[in-house]
Amino acid sequence: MTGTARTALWIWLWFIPFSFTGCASLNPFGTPGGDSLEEDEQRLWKTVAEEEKRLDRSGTLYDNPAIVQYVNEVAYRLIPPTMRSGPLTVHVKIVKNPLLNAFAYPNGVIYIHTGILARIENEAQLAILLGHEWTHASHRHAVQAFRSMQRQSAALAAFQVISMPFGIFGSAASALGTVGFVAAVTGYSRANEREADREGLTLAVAAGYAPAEAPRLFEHLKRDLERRKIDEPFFFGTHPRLVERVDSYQEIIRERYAAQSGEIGEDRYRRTMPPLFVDNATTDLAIGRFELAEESLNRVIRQQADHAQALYLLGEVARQRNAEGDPRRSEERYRQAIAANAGYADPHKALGMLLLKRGETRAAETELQEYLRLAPDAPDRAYVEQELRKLSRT
Amino acid sequence: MRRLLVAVLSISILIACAGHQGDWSVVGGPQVIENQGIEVEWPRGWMKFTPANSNEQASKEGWLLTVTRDGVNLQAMTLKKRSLEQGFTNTQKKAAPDISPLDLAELVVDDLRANPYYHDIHVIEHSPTTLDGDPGYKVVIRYRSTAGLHRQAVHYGCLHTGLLYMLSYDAPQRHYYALDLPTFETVKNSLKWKVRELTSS
Repeated sequence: MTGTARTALWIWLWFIPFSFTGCASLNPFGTPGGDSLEEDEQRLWKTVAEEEKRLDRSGTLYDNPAIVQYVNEVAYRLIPPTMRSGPLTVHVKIVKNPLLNAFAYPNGVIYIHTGILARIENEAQLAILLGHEWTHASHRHAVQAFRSMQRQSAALAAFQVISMPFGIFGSAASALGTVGFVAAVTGYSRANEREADREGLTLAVAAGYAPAEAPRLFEHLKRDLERRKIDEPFFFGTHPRLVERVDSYQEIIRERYAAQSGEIGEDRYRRTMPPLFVDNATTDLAIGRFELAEESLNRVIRQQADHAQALYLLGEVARQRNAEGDPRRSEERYRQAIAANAGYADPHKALGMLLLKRGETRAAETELQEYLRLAPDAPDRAYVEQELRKLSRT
Repeated sequence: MRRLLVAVLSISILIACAGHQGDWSVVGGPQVIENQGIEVEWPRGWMKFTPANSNEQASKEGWLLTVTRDGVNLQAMTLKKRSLEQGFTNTQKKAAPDISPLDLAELVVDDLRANPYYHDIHVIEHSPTTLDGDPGYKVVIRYRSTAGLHRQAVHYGCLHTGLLYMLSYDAPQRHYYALDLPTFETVKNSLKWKVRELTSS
């Protein structure tokens, strides 16, 4: 059975006990009578604990301590003190995945992809996204969704999961557990999503952030998808859902925050995030999403013009894309990377190979020798030595 | 209630049996792989899985077969063949017909890096080699599976008659990788091209 089919079957079996569960309305956590878990909710949380364990063990978590701490500080600032001691956990985990995605488990733990963090422009936008996700947990949308789906028909849900068009990176979606799958891929009901927009924005504004950044974030993501002419498998990577978010936030701002300004935190975000921009761009480059990789790397260069790794990777983007003017651009970037850090081995090899292809054998030889001197244990040493042997015979 | 139970059971069976995925058989000795222009000597007594023609994922990946002794999670030798136009499974990048083995190997590694099931990939070795005389690549990687297990894999590949042939061995890094690596190297050295001028798959 495929992973997707297993997910579907699991959802199917999971719902059976809910046939007999009542559908009483649930108070949000942090409100009077809202902090106790109902029986089916307790089961849901146990499932979530297992799913989280599996995700955390999988090697997908991004572990740059400064960035993880920063993102958690933004989340912590959002959560009212009365909620911090309740049953929910204020914890954000970053997943190494270039696709646009963020989701919250019912226990409050939020998972956010490097892909969406690399597109976010400032701290206010991050806070708004985290506020949206936190509201799904605080307002118990997961258990409502599971009960409602059971009522509508578990069969329909299962078959929708099977037939969902994932695209080439969609297998990441089927690696999630059942609860994570619903939170990250299908999303919740339109009413729940709008509630998450409204309550999440309330949290962000109360924490001092500018509400006007909410529609800007989703407009930015929407334009990004339109330009690439592709939908991604996760909730925040689908065009209709982004259009809904933009409309919904614009309406909320018109109604509640028309004259409200606030903190944007662009500098802080740009100062903290460059290592993540570089790491995410490396994955985008491996996938062949050259434009996205280039955009992220240019953000780094705008922040730090002599960032050797970003310069080298920009050279790689140009070399691999090989469009008009790219060979010249790649050489320029490799040389800038070497100028920024002469002890960095990779641009020497890249430049050596480029010069070799162009027939500048002596200059190529110098660069390749320098590469081996700087990286004597390079995994591709045998290749480079082979090229050097060929050169010595010419 | 009875109707619900019947529905659950029937659909569960339907999901479990959806599509014939392929066949298992015992292998051993030299084997000419039908219509693929290649001969490989697999270790005696191991089990071979041949994906069915209807297996869409297998067709997409150019997956010809996988051989294992104790189960694919413990050791798997896999042979794939695909045209360059077909591209790779995860990376969107394409290989030009005159691509060098070095660049080809980089594409193969990028394809693995773009695979959400492979985490923390480290390239341990990336060197030139030959497959029955054709220049190719050898890439050894260490990675973590989605289940969190540390695994190691060696990938050989080359272009032959315009087609990309890939032979790999993948096993848990601890104990199993070293255990069957010599067997895999014997398999790799047994590979022979049966058709020198094959113009299409």
